[in-house]
Amino acid sequence: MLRPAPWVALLLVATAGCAPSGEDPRSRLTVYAAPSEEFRVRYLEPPWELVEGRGTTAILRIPSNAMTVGGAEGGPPKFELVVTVEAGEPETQAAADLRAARRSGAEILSDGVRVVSTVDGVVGAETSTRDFDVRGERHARIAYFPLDRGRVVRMAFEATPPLDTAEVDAMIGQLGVGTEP
Amino acid sequence: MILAVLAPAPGAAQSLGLGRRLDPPRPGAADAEASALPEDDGEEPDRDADGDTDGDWPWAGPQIQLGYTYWKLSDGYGGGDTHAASVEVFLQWPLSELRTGLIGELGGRGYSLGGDDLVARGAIEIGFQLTELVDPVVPYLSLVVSAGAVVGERFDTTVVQGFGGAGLELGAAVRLVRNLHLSASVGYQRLEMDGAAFDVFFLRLGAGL
Repeated sequence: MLRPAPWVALLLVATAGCAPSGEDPRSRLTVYAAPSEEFRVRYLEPPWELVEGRGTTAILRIPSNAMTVGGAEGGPPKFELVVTVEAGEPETQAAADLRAARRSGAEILSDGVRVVSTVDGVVGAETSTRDFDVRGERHARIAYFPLDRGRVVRMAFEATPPLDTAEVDAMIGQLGVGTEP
Repeated sequence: MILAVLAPAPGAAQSLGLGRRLDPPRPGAADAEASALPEDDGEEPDRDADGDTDGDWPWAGPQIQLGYTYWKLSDGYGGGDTHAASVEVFLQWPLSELRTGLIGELGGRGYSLGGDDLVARGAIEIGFQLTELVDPVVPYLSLVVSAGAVVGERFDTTVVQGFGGAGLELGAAVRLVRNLHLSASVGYQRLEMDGAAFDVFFLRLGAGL
């Protein structure tokens, strides 16, 4: 008859021994990698969930409380992130977003276009805005990172809670751009 | 007040739980008790500096402890310091060197990117303790198997993450008077949470009976 406690302990230690170190924040993140290696978006799952990952487009979201608890269909999620590849340069794309936000009457939270970078050292540009519509208060934070040949990786957050937070900073910082080093 | 209630009556054999009561009889103890009982004059027996009666068996170790535990379950961004209140209940056996206990902990864990997390941990301790060699100090070495959960806010959403693992704990308890004691220990455990492994060092301080 096997005594359970030592076997359970051995199993746990053996399992933990094979896992990546928790000191690395990427060890607990799920990755969606574009097939042609344009980008790798890393996210904490849960609460994030991948809604669509097809080619150079990845759509992630965190359902709203009404969706989670009340089972409501439709309506805006609490957080939504769309990562795509498009033509342009980071600064010009961010400046265009800023002009569009001003035209729509949104509040500019980022004091113009600001510099943003990933932990791998890729430097881009971003804007952060807040707007009010029929859905209530919505925040938007859009970052661009240079890819190659005049292309950029666009990372667009939209959410009900504020987006200028350390968690969003960290998620933007974990974006992988181009071929993995 | 509590100590007075829990303390054995004057002249009575000091009970230290199941293991204490199941201690094998000392040679001649039955005769001594038989001869002592009829002549019990109600006077308190001689006590030494520690307050226990002369000729007592060495302390069988703690029965219950309340304490504080510090450990760091890294959040990957430099945080993860965990401060917890703990309670440990010991099961005592005829072999007093066998140390077994159940640990429960509840505390807070710092999260670098947001508000603090709530941490709950339960553990089973199985080990070896020296109850006679350096009485009233009881050093011990134990295997500890832990399981628990971290409850925190991630992106304005409540997330629960379970963890588990095992490791070793080295410590000692010092008896002050009767069963009242202080305890300190350090430990190492390898924990797994959410697909990642953590090397966790523990510091536990406690007091109990």
